[in-house]
Amino acid sequence: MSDPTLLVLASLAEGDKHGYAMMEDIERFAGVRLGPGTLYGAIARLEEHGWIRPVASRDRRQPYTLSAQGRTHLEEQLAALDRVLRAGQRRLRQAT
Amino acid sequence: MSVNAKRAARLFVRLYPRAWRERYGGEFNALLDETPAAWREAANIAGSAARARLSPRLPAAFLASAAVFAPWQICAAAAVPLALLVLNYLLGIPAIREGDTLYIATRQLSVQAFCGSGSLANIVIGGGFLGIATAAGRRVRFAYLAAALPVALVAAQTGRIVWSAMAAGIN
Repeated sequence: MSDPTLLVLASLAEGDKHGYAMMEDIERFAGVRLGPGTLYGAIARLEEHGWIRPVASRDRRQPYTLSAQGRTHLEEQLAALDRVLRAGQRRLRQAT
Repeated sequence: MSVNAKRAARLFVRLYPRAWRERYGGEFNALLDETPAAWREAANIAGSAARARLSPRLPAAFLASAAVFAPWQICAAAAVPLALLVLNYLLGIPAIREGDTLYIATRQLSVQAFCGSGSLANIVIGGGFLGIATAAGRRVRFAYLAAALPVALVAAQTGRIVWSAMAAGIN
């Protein structure tokens, strides 16, 4: 799984985070190191869709939070991935 | 940590559209302050800035057609060199063979150079489309695969032209 928008949504599902915290978190749970440009490309797209939104911050670092629509979208995407995962595993078992 | 990479990354941030910089510039620079600088990150920023500029301006239909058109354009580049290779090598048909050796080489060279320049022009056009589609974030892996053989063929034929020119003593 390497879709940056999905990785960002999955990271924010745990709680609000700013850019660097997302990069670190994503590397930890997915083993993928997003470049700064890729990360902010994903953030811009997600914000455009209304799936994430900025929250108040005291410093230059801008935290983001998952919106209700974002949570629904993430659930749908994860359910689709889960179906693919199960089908793949079942077929692998049948093939051996 | 490379100071030059950090400097390049800051420079590449300026490539983003003004509206993007006004919205995200502050927090993006804050992120760069925390990120260990590397050339890979700088290249990532340059590519993302190009995408941010291209994506909203170029219609999706144009980008899709560019990604499809590019390999065809590059394949067309290989048609003439391939025909020359078949004629000259496989079928044993000599290229234009008249007069003395130098004249033959010159004629052969001029015909092949003409075809070669047309092929190279096709590659440049096709490569340009491929570059635009890539920078805009299209998935064009198939296009790169499709273009690999024609590019190799044209490169081989161009090498042959240069080789024959050198063998004939033409600079």
